[in-house]
Amino acid sequence: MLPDFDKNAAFIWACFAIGAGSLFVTILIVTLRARAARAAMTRAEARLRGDDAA
Amino acid sequence: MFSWFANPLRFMRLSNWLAPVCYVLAALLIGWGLWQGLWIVPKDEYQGGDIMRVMFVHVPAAWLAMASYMAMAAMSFVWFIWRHEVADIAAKSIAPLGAVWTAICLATGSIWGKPTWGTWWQWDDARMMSVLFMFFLFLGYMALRASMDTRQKAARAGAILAMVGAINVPLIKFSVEMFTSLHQNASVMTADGPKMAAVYLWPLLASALGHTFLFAGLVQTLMRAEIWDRRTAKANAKLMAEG
Amino acid sequence: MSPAPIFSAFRQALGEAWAGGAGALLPLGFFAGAAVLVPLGIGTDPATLRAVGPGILWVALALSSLVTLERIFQADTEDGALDLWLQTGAPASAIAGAKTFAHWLAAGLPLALISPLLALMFQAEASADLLRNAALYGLGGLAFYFWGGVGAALSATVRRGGLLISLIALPLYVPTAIFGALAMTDAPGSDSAPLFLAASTLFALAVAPFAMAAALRLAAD
Repeated sequence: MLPDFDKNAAFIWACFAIGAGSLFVTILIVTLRARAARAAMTRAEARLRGDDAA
Repeated sequence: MFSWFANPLRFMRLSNWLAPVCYVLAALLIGWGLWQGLWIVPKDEYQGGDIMRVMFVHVPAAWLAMASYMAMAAMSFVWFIWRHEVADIAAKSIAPLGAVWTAICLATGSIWGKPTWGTWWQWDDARMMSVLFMFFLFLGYMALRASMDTRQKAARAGAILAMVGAINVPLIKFSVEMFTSLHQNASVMTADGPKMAAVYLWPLLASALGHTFLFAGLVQTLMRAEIWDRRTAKANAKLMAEG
Repeated sequence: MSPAPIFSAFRQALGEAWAGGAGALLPLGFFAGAAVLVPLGIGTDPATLRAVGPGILWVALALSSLVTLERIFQADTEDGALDLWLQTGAPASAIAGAKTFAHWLAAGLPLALISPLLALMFQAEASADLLRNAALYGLGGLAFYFWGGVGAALSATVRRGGLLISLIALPLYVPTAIFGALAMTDAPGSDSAPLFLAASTLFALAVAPFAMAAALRLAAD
């Protein structure tokens, strides 16, 4: 149930949408970046160990 | 004290549990602040009615715009004096996140300004102008780091620029205030506003604290990604060396 | 330590910036060109031009300082002169300051000197105020050159560093531009603005050389 604003409702919702939207995108990008970095590291170190064993 | 944090392994162990804790606290605090701010607290007719609810996203963003730049400069200083790698990784990770919150502050401030001042952009508002220059400082820092060809050079150049920027911030703020005080009749809201009632204070503090925790969590996650990148680079270099 | 390397850096930079006179003509041309474009863009209404004239000249001065500064340290890093300066034992901050000051003398001061001419084109009344304003442009230009020098030193090893210098230096130009423009209005607070302008220039002179020195040591590595 959304609150009922006196006036300027579009402006208020725009502000909260911008805040929520940009923070959501930021969280998404940071999470994906971290996961990709960890995956790349795991692969590289596994290859390194594999070469050591061989 | 700084040396204790300077060890990347210790940082990885710490952030492994601290970052999730930050995220949980951020979700709780921002959630409560938004619920209070949007549904519970009464509107303030002095501040133009319901539009003042925007402060529950705008004020935390403004606080983080300033605080993140200062944190970045402090980390740059620590790196410059003691050369603790983790401090540089922190400064590098703070910059893009600080820029995001600074942009949110500018965007929400502009949208708030339209119904309140009747204009999207108020050149006469000292806070708006200061935050804009803050945004440029972040952009310059990121551009400078990106254009250096080695990590060490990026760290040194970035640290110098962040420190030069930080000592200029008070002067920039002072000059902007002098610039804007000429046209004070244009602004509807006074610098500090009427004394803020306690009903707004707690939700606002909760929101600001929540955003700070979210920021801290994201900084740690980005720092972890950076440290993983460096380990990848090291492993790849070893692979190359072994042929 | 003898001060000789500082003087020789100053002479070398002055010769470089002057470059047979063309060095001073180029920024002058840029300054005049940027200023002359404005009436073409905003129209020729004398009242409007009189109101915006001093501010336009500040903007043109800031932009032309950025254009001149792009190569100030770049040539030295490319031909190895920078390593030699740093080995002389003279403080790097003094050498960087001397070079920047020389560039201001060769390119910044001429801009201030022709500012009365451009002010007349912007419909200002011919009066002694124009000379006072020229002094303010000179003073503010010095601050622009020193902060721009920090940007130039930081991007000395960067290809196409000019754009980077602009992004780095513009926020640092803000106080000088504000105080300078304010000093040329009748607004309240304009009496003390020249003092603040002088203070911001002194601040730049005190801080920027050390930042330039740190950046040059980085460029030499």
